[in-house]
Amino acid sequence: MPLGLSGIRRQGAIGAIATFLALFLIDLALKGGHFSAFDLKTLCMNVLPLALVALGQFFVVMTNGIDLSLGPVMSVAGAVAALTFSTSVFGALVLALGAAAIAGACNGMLVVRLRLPPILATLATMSIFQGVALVIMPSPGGNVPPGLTDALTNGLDWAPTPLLLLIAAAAVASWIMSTPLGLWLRAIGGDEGGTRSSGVPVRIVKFSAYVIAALLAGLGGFYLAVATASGSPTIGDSFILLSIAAVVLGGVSITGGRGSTTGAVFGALTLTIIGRLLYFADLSSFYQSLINGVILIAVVGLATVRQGLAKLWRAERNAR
Amino acid sequence: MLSLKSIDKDFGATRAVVNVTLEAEPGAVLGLVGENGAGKSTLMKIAGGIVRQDRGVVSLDGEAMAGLGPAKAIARGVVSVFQELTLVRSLTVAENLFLSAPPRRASASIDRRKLEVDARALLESYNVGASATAIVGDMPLGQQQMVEIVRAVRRKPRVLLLDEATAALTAAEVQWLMRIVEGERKRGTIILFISHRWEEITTFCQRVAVMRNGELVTLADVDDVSHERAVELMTGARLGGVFPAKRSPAGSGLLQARGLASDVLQGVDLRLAKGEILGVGGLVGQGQDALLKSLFGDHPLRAGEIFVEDRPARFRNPRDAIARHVAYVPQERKVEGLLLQKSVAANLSFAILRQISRLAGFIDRKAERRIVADAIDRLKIRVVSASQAVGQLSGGNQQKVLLQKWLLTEPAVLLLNDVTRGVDIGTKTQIYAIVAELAASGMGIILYSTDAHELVGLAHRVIVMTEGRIRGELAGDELTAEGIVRASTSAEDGRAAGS
Repeated sequence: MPLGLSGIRRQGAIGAIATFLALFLIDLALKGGHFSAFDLKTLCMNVLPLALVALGQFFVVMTNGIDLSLGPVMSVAGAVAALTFSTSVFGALVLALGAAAIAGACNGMLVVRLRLPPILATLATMSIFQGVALVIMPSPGGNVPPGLTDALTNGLDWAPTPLLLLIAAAAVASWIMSTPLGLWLRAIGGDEGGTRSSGVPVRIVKFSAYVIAALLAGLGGFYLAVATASGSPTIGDSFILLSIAAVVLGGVSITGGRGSTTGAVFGALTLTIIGRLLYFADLSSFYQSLINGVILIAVVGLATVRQGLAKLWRAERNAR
Repeated sequence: MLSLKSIDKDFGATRAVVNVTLEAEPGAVLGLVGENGAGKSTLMKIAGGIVRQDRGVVSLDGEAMAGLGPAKAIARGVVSVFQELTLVRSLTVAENLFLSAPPRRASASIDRRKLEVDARALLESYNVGASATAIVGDMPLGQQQMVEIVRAVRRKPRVLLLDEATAALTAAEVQWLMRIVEGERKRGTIILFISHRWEEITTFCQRVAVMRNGELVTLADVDDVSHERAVELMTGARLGGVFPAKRSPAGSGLLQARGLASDVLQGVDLRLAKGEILGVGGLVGQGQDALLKSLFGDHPLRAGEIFVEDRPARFRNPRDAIARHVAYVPQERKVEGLLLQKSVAANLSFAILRQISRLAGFIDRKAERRIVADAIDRLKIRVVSASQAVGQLSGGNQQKVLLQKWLLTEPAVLLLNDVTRGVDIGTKTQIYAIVAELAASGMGIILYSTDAHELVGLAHRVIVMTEGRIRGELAGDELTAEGIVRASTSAEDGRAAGS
């Protein structure tokens, strides 16, 4: 880990980890303290697509941007994969990620070259990618090799494949943040003008953030298609806002510059476990969106109050 | 040798730099002096390859340089330190020092241990007491500026550009910078140095260039120019007849403030009589903005008392201030004052909506039309119609709309925050006439201006601010542009006395 424990605390992931653990314990208590290998596997399977797209969103939010198109990028990548598995598994993966990379490059160009505000640029491309997904795959379908689904959803009892993939994705994202590119992403979110004046190639860095984000969303879409054994042109839509919520829950500053990949992963885990709790509490899944919103406000509100108090305290100290 | 030949640069209608030719050589620090808006910073940015000139040639040892952008300029060895810091406040000192090229391990990850060790060594070698792992935003401004300077000189620049790099430094820190600049000079670096403080020019520089209104008026050895001569050259001879005749104020007290303190203000007292124009001067960013806003309820105060007509008037928000007939005309009209897409009429009536509202909040359009037509007439605002969008008007006319908007609230106290900046001389003259007329009618006016001549021409009294405090008050025969500039820049009344 490049940051170490104090670094994680500074970057606001502690809150997300604590929230997840608290909800996890409640979940455990509701089921009488029983947690099986099967539970672990389903949890990881459920969280992986959201964690991947949240990690993608993390890179964009880090630069004080936002990417509303990542959900539809998942749909496109999943559809492309489902339609091309007949060639080869590897070919389908490459084509899906290729489509995602092109989508990310479009976003990057709009933001960096045309200087559109990220929220507008990606609002437009969100709609475009939704359209693309529907054009290439009007209704859910496609062909996913059953062996692949089995391999990517099962694995060893206490080390199911989705858990390994989750750890791998988190490790890669964390590694990116430990390189100069990661430092520059954080710097841009902190002060874009100052970063440019310091001689950092700001435009290239921001462009890469959108491409990396789309690639991670593409992976999420690919996994979703494999796990559900089919492609669906609208499957990514629910991830548009969830990916942002996960990042914010993970303690990442929505104005960029501060946050950790660990936080983004735990944000995704928190949202996933809320869904499980509702399921076991026998509440209709219609409540999920409502509860997600309330928890988001509670967590972000707490963080804001805490920051406000810290600021007051600093001001008090400086006045003396 | 860094050479600039026949440089011109316009920003819209403003001629920022006009036909400037000068050369800077290694071994002699070149000081650039001039009033605010004289074109010093623009010229320095052109010299540094950051801003592209409209006409003329910039070359460094024979190679042409123009509009390179920061990254390429740094690669060519041209390094700038600006008054506005370019450090990223949310990162650590070490991360900032090596931001463009941090040390890496074989895995491409940043080698954080080496980063910190290198940063610590660098800070020690330049005698900076900052911690390598401190977050820049948590440090005092002076230390931040020092880190920025260390980052610049560690690149071993061929050209070092210091634009008010001393503004945030204490006297001891200025001495520290002095030693660094001297070291760089001996190393053969070409150095340009902008400062508003004359004693810094005489200690840091061997040559001095004086600019006024975008033009280079003098280029000489520092020893051949006295402070008085430099101030004369900076301010120049002005046009007569711009300012209306001054009438003495009516006399009775209107506004009093005692011990105003906030994160910017350090205990300010002032009083204002009816019919008086009180000028506020000093270098940019010494708390003048905060002072005016605090009187308008738009700047949180930690302590202090304000009275308007002997009633307490420490307002919590601008709405309360408006209710007590205090009006504030801001500096950045595009940001604070006007809705640019809205019509002239809508902008004018915005502050008096309550007066022209009838039952259930409906606006009396007839009353609005009458008031707006009157206002346009009175201020000679040049518009096609009252429904024209404010954004389409010239800057001077926008400023008049903004001024009139607040006059409609019938203020007793009018706070003007550098309202003529960027306004052409013709419109300025009109605004001056209006301000003088308003004072004659009994209004009390506090006028902050970065133009010393404007203060002298309009105000009855001028207070000069430094670092959130009032450092001098000028009235009568003492009230001259030279006096104001000297009070804001000389060591006796300025920073050295306070630190």
